[in-house]
Amino acid sequence: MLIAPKKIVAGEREKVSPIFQATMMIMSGLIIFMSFYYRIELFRALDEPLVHETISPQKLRELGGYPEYVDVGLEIERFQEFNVTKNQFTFTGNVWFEFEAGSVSIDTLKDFAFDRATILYRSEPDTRLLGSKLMVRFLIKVAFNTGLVNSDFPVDDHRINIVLSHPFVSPEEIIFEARATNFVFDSNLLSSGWNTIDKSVKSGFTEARLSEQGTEKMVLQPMVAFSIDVERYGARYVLAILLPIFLMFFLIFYCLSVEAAPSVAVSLGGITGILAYRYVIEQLSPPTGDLMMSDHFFFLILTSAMLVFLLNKLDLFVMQLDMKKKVLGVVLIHMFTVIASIYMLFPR
Amino acid sequence: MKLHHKLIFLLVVGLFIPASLGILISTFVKPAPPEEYTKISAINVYAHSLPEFPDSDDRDWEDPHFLNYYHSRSVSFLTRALQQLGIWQRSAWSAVYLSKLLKQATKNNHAMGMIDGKKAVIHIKASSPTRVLVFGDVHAAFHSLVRDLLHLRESGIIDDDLKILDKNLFIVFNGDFIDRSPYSIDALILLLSIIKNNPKQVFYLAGKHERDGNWKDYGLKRELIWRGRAFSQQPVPFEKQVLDFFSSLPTSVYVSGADDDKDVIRISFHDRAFLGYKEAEIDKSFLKHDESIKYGEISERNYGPSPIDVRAAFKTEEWRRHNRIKKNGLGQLDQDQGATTWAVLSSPVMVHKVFLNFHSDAFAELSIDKKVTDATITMHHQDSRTAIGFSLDPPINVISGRLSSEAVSELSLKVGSTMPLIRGLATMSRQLKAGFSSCINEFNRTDKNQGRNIRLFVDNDDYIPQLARENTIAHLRQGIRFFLSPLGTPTIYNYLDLLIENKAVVFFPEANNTAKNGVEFPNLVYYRASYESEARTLIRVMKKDFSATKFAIFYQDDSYGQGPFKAAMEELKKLGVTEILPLPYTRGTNSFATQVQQLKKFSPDALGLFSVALPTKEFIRQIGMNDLLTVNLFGLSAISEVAMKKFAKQKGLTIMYGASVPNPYMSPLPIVEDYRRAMKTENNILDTFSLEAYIGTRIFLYALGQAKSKNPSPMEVLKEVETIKNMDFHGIAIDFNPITRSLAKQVFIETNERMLWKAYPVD
Repeated sequence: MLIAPKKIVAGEREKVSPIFQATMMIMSGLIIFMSFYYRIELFRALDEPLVHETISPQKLRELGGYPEYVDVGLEIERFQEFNVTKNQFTFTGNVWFEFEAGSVSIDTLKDFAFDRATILYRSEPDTRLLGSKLMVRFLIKVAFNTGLVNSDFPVDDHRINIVLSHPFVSPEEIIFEARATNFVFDSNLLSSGWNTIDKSVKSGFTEARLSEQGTEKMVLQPMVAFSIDVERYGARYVLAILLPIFLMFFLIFYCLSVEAAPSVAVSLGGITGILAYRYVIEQLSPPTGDLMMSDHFFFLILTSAMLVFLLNKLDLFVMQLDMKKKVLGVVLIHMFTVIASIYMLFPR
Repeated sequence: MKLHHKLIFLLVVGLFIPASLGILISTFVKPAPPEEYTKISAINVYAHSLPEFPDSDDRDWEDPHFLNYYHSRSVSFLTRALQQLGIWQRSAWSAVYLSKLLKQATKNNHAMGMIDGKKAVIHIKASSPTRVLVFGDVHAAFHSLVRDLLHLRESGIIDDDLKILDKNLFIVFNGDFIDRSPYSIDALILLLSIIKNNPKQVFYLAGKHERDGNWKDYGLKRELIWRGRAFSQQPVPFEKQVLDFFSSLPTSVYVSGADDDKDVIRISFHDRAFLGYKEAEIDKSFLKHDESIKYGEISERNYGPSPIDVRAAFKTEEWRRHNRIKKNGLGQLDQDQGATTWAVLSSPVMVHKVFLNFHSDAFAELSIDKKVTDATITMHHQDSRTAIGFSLDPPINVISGRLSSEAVSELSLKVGSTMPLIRGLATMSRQLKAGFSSCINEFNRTDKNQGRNIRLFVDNDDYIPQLARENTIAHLRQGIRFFLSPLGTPTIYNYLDLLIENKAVVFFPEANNTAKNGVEFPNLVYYRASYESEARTLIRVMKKDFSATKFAIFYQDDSYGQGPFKAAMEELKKLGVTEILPLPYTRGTNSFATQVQQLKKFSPDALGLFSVALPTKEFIRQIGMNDLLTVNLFGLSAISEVAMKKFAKQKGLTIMYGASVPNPYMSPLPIVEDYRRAMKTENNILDTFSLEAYIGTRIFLYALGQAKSKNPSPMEVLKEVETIKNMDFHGIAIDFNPITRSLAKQVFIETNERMLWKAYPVD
């Protein structure tokens, strides 16, 4: 049943208690804060998965049963560039190979490559005998990028893969093997803002299909992927992006607690502030065409702010709502914001 | 009270206060680890509450990541608070509890004198019928282990409190207990609980994953990080406790019977070559003690002149080579220094299911009483997919592999071999070993062995003549006088004098250069035709069938390559070919710039490869395919490894190889069919080398059987070989030639795996 609009007297209306508003804000803020805290504690890297094949027993038989195993290691001396936002990384370090002396040709081995990378410098091989094994070391400088996905920005975690492969030998001849302990880098080398969680190494081979027809032009390459798991250190980005818009959003609620005239200014000012802050978010965000979590939150807050604005407008200009309805409206908007926030932070 | 005041009150009382309390408690008070799962029945309920095979993040089953699964299992701050308040009791075993158990177990190991685990061993001496249950490669299969325990409880072996009921029953977990599954922490806690309840009857041996911090490359580390993160600020929570415990784990368990004074069965993840002590020097006095169990580290004082004799062993293969494991979880491996060797696979973790098609919960029961030679293995196994109950296989003898009800071989004959198993010609060597091991394992298992059990002692010599000589000296010291299928011309010729001196004989080496044949070396007998003969045949075929007139020969400039090179030169001269380019190289070289330059300038229409696989591949790679388009390639049998053939195929090259045997994949000859069957039984790869070793071993076993005495000398067996005249040996024509000391009558030319190979008479 439609309720007949009441006569509105400018500057006079029943106001929602500021204490109630404050309590709701504290409650919502606390739940959202705790959700963020819990989400930041979780490591969730959405980056492109590593494409590699395991050397299975069947594959080993197909390869003739006894390929030469070459231990591979990577020591990163220094990251000249570690820019997750721009997906640009450059490091200097040593890559080494260890194998039974005489079983592998150094001339062949030295043509190793890194995926999605440019080797800016590669030294001549430095060899050393370790018992019956030969260790060959190359000084390298490599610029690379990796399949970063920034959907979770600003609570994003990443797995940065440095993939070493050999395009000119097949797994029939050489199988790369590596251990996490063969991957050495100083976590303090990472630019501030990122914290190293773990490192891992996977070896196997990759398939490159040179033609869509048949398998004759399929090329198999031995590979090793050195991975670094990083999470954002601290909450700078989360606070810088989300705190202002949340504050503005909560501020808008005060339009229901003030007189009619200033309430319009408060709600419009808040929405304008949120819209303007989009520019700041753009400056802080990675350049990507995908929707990120920061975008989702921006749109959520904007929508919630619009709902408050509409509630206020409804109360002021359409019909004077009774207190029960106003309180219910406030609670519902808070619930909508909190539930949507949790949903966006922890998608299934 | 106004409406919004009521709401505020409700919100504060209903949500704010409990939430704040929860945060405070979970922040400042660490929850006590739950320890309630101490009974098999409770553990079973707990196991049922967890999915056995949760999906991994990456589906890389060799080293799966289960981060998403751990997140789903993670304990929230509210749950932690509720646990602390005693409201929420159902919980998982935690990393904290593991840490507590690890500390305790490490302390116990140290107290038993096992500080440096690499040298630590345990000796079980059976004073009455004794059983040892052996588990291998559990790989944190928590659910499978729980099913095994339920089976043991139903069998009356343990009670619900994880206590073993029979004092003469021991359980050994033979390494690689962790990783590859998401339940390393739960499985370790369960195992440590069993050990805690039965410290003198349950032993956890270190495997590859436990040693040298290897676990940090795999799942346990990640599990500790994600399940222990809430309890520890360390980058890897409880890392020190894990490292300390794993470094205190013993390496081997030795088992001997009541009447044994030197025979033992070794249970260890590793084979002899990789133990942290010199097993071959442990004096038999080590076995003398009054207790049924002895612990300790092996040191110099344990070494002595009368070493123990390992007659059988349980070890673990690298998972990719776990291809001999049957559905019951047991597999017979190649012998390890004369010990019949077994592998046990116990768990259906995803890597085993996907790559090995292995789905069983399984373990071995080793039964021993008076003597090791009478000990038996009984497999307990069930298909985990149905889990309808465990089956028990009939017991088999631990040494012969035959059913224990059948007669046991009494007479053991030691046979040695030295070959480059790691460097040099490793692929060839391993295939040769596979060939003669398959044949000997089959012989030991059958009832045609005339009561003999052949013990194989194979050592690596890295293709180094001096090392081969040292190996032979060691073999002679061990009383070995029969040598079978060694590999490497330069290495074999470096110890021939020792054979003459000790009246030992080398049967059918994988090398044959006529330069060293003849009456000068009566202690050597070949199956194969000489490389010279192969070279001559290849040259003739090239000239006749391919009309080649311009030959280049790439050869190893040593006792292996010079013989066939000279033979090829003579043959070419005989055929009137004058345009010949010799391309020698020094063994161990991988850079062939000079030879490549000469070859390109010469532009031959046939190129002979009298080399071995690796330098040949490098040589071809350095030439480039463009310069080989119009060249006919041919090579000695020594380069015809499977990987070499795949390399050539990948490059689009066709190489014609010499061979001393018919096509191993296609030939209908009875002996080749036998070979294929034996190799299939052990899941080995077929190729010419293994077939050659198989045929040689069959001839050796035939000659052994022909000898008059039951325990013949090498010279007697040699004599039987020397009497072979124009024999059809299961389809292969053999005839002993006293000049070349070879049995082969034919050389084969390998053209295509899918065709029968043409045979040419040996000249």
